[in-house]
Amino acid sequence: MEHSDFLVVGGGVIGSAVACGLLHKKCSVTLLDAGGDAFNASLANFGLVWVQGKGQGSRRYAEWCHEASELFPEYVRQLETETGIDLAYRKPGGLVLCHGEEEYQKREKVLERLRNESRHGSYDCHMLDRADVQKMLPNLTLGPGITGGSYSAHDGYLNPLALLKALHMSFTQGGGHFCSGTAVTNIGYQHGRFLVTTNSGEFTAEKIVLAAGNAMTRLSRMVGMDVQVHPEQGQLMVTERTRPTLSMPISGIQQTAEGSFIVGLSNRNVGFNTDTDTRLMKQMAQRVVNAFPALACLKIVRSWSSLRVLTADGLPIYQQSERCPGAYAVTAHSGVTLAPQHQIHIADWIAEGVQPEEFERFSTRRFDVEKTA
Amino acid sequence: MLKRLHDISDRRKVTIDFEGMQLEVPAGETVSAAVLAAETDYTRTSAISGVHRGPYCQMGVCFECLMEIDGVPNSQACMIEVRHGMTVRRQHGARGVSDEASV
Amino acid sequence: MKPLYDLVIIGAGPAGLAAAVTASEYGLSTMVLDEQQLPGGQIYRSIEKSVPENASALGKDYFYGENLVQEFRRSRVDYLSGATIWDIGRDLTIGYLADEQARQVRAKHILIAVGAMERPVPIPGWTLPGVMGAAAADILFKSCDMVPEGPVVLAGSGPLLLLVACRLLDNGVNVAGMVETNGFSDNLKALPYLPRALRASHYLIKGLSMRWKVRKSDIPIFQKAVKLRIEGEDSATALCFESRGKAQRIPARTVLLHEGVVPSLQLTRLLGCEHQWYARQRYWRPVLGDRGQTSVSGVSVAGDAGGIFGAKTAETAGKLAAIDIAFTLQVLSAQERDLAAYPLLKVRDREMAIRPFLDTLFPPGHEALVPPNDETLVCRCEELTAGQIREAIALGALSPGQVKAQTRSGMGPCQGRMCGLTIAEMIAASRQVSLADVGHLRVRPPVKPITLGQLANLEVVE
Repeated sequence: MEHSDFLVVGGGVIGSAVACGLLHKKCSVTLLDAGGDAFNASLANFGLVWVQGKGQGSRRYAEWCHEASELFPEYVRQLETETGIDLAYRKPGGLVLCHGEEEYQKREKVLERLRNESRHGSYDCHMLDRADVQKMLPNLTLGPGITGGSYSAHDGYLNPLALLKALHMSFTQGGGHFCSGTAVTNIGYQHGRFLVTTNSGEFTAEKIVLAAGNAMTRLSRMVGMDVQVHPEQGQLMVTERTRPTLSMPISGIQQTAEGSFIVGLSNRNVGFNTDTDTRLMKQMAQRVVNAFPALACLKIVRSWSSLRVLTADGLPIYQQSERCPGAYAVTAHSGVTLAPQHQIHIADWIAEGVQPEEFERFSTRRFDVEKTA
Repeated sequence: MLKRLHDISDRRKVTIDFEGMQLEVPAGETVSAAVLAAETDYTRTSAISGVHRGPYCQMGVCFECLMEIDGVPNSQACMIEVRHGMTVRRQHGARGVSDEASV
Repeated sequence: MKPLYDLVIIGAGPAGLAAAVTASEYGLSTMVLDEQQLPGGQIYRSIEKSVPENASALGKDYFYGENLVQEFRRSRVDYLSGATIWDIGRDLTIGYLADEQARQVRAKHILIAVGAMERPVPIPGWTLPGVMGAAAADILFKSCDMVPEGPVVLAGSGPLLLLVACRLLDNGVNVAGMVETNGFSDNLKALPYLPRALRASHYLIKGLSMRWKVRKSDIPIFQKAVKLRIEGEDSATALCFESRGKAQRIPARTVLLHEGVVPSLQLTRLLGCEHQWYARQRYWRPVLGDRGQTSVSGVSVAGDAGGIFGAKTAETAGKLAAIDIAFTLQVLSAQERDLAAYPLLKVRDREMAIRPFLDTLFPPGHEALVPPNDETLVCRCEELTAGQIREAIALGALSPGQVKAQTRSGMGPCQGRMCGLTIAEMIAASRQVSLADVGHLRVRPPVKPITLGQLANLEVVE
């Protein structure tokens, strides 16, 4: 039986970032990953480091994302130096395109609300008319239906698969113990210690961090918490490699460092189903072609669908168990964007009890307030 | 790298333009065969390292025969038959996107 | 063209053609979609326009297909050539690309008869121009009256390697060497299957006569070759290897590689059919009933797409599948079905008798399965070496999907067709588990590339 100071359950972007952070505290850390489909959300995303539009109705979350984007350049530099892996991180700003007048007005309202909710109206993202959007995208002509868009200088992107690989490598090189193909079947709690049963043996730990995506609801109950998450299916398509064309990421259209375009923005509630849907693929293709008619000639080489991990209000949950102190739940939709927050601040909180500002807003107690209200 | 076994003078022929060369080839041949019979062995340079590549499977599986055929990049030359007046170019690395091409 | 057919057959090789003829005889509304321009599949490729001078080299086994194609042409079947399948939904809606347009057609039943592909042979230098599959050379001969320029070296294992060598010899091509990765010990292992194989003795006779032809020519023949490597800068110049402990180098303009053929599984994988691992020839094949039924209702498979049994067996399997589908669609009673199937089952059993012998005689070479040399390119599209794949496995990747996520293997235009099996073998070897425990890449639409514009303009069939 293997013992460590910390056991992190879930080797996706979130669990791996937290595990790397804990390792820097000179603790022994074991990272368990079930592998296979459990990997899904970290493996199938745009790799956007994205701030704009996030956090309506939650100023603290908007700030949390913005702080992350500020931490990102240095975070990436360190991880790249440590592992030698190129994360292809760029921060050219990002765009959301509006198709038609109605979308433009809707988007304007969203930004206005975010600005009103921010401290001193500091929210930094603004609307652009069609001509200004076109100026930002010199290589591609906008389709006639594009009325404008919103732009934020804080948005960027990286290669999410490289990020995950770098985190795993950094963790392993730093002396962490990474167990792939290890699925947790039970968690026991006795005398302040955790006993974790898996398909490949038992593990014990002083503290345990649950970062297991859509398995969170099931696992949190084993340590006296009720952290509810649900899957939401997102679908995307990837094209053949293309010479650099798109100068900045666009919500739903992004050119990777390798040259492939990743396109699509969809959400379906279909449980744990990860089949792609042809009608949806057609709609996504139409939207891309409407935005940039020249992209119609690009060949799609694969499609993908995977499951986002969503809480009831879409905001992260960072919570310690009251019944089993030393057990922590960490879940968020934006695992890539929030990676530095998780590696730095969430690790600080778990290892040293240091809480970031207004941290209680991310606990599950916010749902109790709603219930009683 | 390929040679035709029999005289083609009495067969129906079409003319294609391969990298500026006018090739007179029998109708019904695949583009990849027609090109390989024209004293060449590579049909593209790879998208990553830029090395020479040529057709491997001749049946639409390997995607090594990607060429620019009548202006369409990354076309499978082993799955397309020659047409009179066709323009065939090697695919050099990753394709481009241009606004003019979409019009 | 109709929006809905009783039966849509994918592939116009022996299995698809025979199934189409049988199905139309039973009155099923039938459509055949095929990626090639002419019917015949790869085995009877271009049979309708073969060059008369090549008749003797092509041989009577090839021209046997003429009848099949003629019957097919006479039958009342909707046939669309040059149609590439890019999607099949679980509701049996088929997405295909024809004349640069994405379309859909629906089927009450689908028969997958897409045949096989050559097993990729990853050795150092195999991506150089001048290196091809042996089957590729055969296709060029049948369809375009062409042969590779000599000197040609053939390397690997399998009956097709022998057949191609003979055809090259017949056509006066300078064959500089026959480098076999199998050897005498495989002959011994195959011996117990010989009595059963005698039931299909015409194959044995053909095989022996081909071997005799190669032997009596003065081509150098090497057996049990290892450490195969192709030399060359911009194109192949020589094949290097070791045989019986001696290093060899054969200069060559063209190198033809072959380690057997494996079923094409993109469509059965896409549909979620159950598959099984066939260890003797090291490939996956769908689990099939006696008459080609898969685990997915409404989906059948016939021919080499269901396991490598050759053209004659494929034809019989196509007929059997069509009979079964006619029963499923309530055109035949159970009794009528069994009556029609019985003689065909007997024929098929006889045809299949040769297989255990052949499969044991020509095992895929170990080095082609798990490339020992770290420099060997495994994923041709993304240009990934065996070393990079092994690095990902060492970092914890347990499945082809996880290796893909770490390295991009299988993310290129061939969608993992050329590297998927090799990577699975590498993982299995490293973890010392069976391929069945390693799994395979998930197949997603589009199974062949289509453009965003084609997809955007798709007319969805209700």
